[in-house]
Amino acid sequence: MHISEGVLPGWCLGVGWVLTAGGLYLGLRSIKGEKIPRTALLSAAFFIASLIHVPIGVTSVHLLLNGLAGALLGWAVFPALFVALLFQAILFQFGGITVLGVNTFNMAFPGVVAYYAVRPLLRRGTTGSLIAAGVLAALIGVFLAATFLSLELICIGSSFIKTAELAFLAHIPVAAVEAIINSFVFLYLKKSGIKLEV
Amino acid sequence: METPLSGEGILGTIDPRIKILSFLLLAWTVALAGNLLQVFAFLPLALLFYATAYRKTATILKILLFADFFLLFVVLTQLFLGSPYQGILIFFKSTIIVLFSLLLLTTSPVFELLHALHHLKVPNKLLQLMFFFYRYLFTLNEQLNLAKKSARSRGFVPKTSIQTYRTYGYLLGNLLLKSYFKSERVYRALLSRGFKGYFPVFRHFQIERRDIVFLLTTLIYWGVAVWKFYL
Repeated sequence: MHISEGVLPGWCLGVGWVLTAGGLYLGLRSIKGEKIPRTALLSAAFFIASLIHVPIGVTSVHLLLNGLAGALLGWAVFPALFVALLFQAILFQFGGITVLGVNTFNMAFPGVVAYYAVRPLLRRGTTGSLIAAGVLAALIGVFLAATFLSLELICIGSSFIKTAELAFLAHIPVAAVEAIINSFVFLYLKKSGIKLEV
Repeated sequence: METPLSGEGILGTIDPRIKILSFLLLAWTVALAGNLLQVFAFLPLALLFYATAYRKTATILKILLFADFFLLFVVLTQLFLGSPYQGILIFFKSTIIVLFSLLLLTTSPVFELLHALHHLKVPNKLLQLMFFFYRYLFTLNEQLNLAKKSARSRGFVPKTSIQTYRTYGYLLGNLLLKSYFKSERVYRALLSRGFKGYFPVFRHFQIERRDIVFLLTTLIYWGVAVWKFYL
């Protein structure tokens, strides 16, 4: 879920932009040469994939995929998700420009955490460790993002506690579905015999 | 996928650099508003902008009403479980900022917006990412649609099952591989053409009288609104 325009107080928007600027600096420093088109195309692929409706029970969810993106991109996940969220704001008006800093940080920082958590498992490369990596990436990515989102909502005022609780709960089915899908993505990448070194 | 109001009305002809700067000023001012009065101070300007694109009313309403489930969720939970005043305040803040965004940003095509960002000193690497992202978004979307079509033609029906999730996982993995290999070909093609990080553009921006009139009007409105309602 992306926070919309006009929801958060000004200082929260400002802090979000500062943190995202730091992440962007580190991320952009880590990509040069062939990594520029690679990051851009993978970012576009994640953008498209997150538009898929995945059925769960009587409803369907959109995937966040920030854990998976982080595991593959490392710090470059900051510019990758920044660009994706900017285009969501321009093309569909999801999220927005003033909240772009907060939204990027909410999504990308858990991605970076997932990167450091998942790398050793991916390097081991057995079926079990790949499944564990998929589950771990989804849990870190989705729940950390949901935690940031809920904390920011609580920051607005005490009347937002219920809103924050519901927002957090809404992420549980996403995490479950994403854990399964991530595992299959890692297994597929292993099966195709190619190392995605980004 | 192009911006929803590309080239619409008089605002579609204003220099995108000026529109981006005006948007940032107006959007941040509304975002920092603390009460309804400060928000409503900018409603007439938003409606005036809307009037220039009245022919696209259906598109604008559809985006304002349906694009934003998060806003709906926040406003509803505030109305019923939190403080209704907050809910209403957030609804109007968000709607006015989105109106500004629709009429100032999305009345220019994406490439012109990116070109304008270059003039506004956005780092070149970030801009390259945006260009490549936008250029290959459609290609990759096409790829995924083909893959989905071929899955359907083999009898794939999405439902809540491990089979469905495996199919989506493999589709996604395949999409990632394709974009990875495509990026390598793109990079070699760029190298062989002597790409140095800058795209030559055909049309350069030129500030005209209507751009200055637009900028001055916006600035004066903003100044008066801030003076009357914010200070």
